[in-house]
Amino acid sequence: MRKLLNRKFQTLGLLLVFFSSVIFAGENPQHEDEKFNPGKVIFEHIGDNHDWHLWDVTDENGQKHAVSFPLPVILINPNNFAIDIFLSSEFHHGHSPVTKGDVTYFMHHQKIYYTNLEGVLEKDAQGNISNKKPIDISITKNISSMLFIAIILLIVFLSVAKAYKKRPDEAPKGLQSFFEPIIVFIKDEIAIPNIGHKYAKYLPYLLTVFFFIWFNNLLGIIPFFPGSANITGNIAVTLVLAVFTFLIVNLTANKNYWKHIFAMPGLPKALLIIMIPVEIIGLFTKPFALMIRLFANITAGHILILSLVSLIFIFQTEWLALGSMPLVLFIYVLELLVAILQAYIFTMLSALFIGLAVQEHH
Amino acid sequence: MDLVTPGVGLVFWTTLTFIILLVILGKFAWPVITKAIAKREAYIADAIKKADEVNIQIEKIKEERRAILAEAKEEQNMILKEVNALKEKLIQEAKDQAQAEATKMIENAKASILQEQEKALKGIKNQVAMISIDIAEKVLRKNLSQEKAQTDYINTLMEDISVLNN
Repeated sequence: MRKLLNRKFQTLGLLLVFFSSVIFAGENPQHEDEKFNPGKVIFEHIGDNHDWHLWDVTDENGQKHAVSFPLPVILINPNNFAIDIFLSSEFHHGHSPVTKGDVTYFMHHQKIYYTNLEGVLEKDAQGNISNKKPIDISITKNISSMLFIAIILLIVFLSVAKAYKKRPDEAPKGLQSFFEPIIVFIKDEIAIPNIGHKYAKYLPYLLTVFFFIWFNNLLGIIPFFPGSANITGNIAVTLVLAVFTFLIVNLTANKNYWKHIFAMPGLPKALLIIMIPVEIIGLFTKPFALMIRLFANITAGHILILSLVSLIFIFQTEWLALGSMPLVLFIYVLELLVAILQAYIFTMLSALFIGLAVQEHH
Repeated sequence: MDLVTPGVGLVFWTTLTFIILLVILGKFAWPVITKAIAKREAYIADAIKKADEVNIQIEKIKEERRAILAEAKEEQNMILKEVNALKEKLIQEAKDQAQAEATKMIENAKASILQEQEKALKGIKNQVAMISIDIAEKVLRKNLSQEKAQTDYINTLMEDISVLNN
């Protein structure tokens, strides 16, 4: 069936080839004969990966092999903090255990476990794997994408800054003129109206978070290398960003803010028993909403695109592409908008929360 | 569940990456950019303000020039008016004088004509009287015997008188 599908690929254009390489990113040769399972494929795609899959090749025996480049695996032993670093290719896509010193690791569904030398996973009564896990801080696909974006951000904005130094008081040019309106917008339309005259202290954070999210969103919707990683659709990334906003809001908050939480003016004393817990929950729901909103929006976009592409494989006819490709294109264009919109919303709400925490009077 | 369980590795690397970005961009990019933009904004605002001031000054100068021109024009008008009045007056005076002179000359001429007339009349009267006396003398002296002789004689005398008169 896969062979059949493969032959059909060739009849479709370059675009579909790109999508196909993305779609099967998580698949292993051992699932060769399984029926196409869109749910599994989609979730493997939007999840994280220990190697960077590019495309599949079929050898003369009809065996499929993934063409991917390996990423570094970094494992920390939680007991003695011993660090093991090796390339993910040593796992052979989860087929073979890796022994380093006196410990053996085995990768199953992108998770790394301690096992015996043969790489046998033990399961408990509920069928869950009971093997112990090391602390995994490997450079995964998402992390390498994010580091790539970090380098891009540094190159772009340091060069923009240089342009300002080089040509002071002159009209902006090139990259500078592209980013200047956005920077001015964040300053004049997000930071100043929400935070007020104390905005300057928070502007670097707002600018960094906006461009970080926007660039990562954009890279995520590029379907081939170096894109395709679902960075901002990963809860860990949005969690960290939301925690940054939470820390900034609560560490710079003034007396007024805390007074509103613990002794809301004008409220009968008896009601405080109810209001204080509500306000404390409120402290955490704000960043929690930030985290979920960005994660859900980006992940939903990826799922939507992948589902529409999967339709072709579910119905096993390339003619369906005539219907689903325009839809995919439409969603792609929509995702371009969502990429900047979600960056804007995250930045705007962060500014709003900071503004609430530092405002002088009610 | 994996989808909503944050991975330790991603949390660690995201935090590290974001802090590095925040520190580097926050030190070397954002302040430079925002300061440069603010400086340029101030520069442009200043330039616009200066241009406005210059415009106001130009407007003021124009106004002054207009006032001066108007004043000059008024003065010119006034001078022209005065000159005109003076001219009229001079012409009138000259006319009056000429009139007076002419009248005087005519009167003088009339007077002298009358004088001459009187003089001439007086002379004629005298001559007529003299001639009459002469004629009378000659008539008386001649022997006026014949009537024909008398008439001839008077005719001759008359011719004489007319010759004299001429």
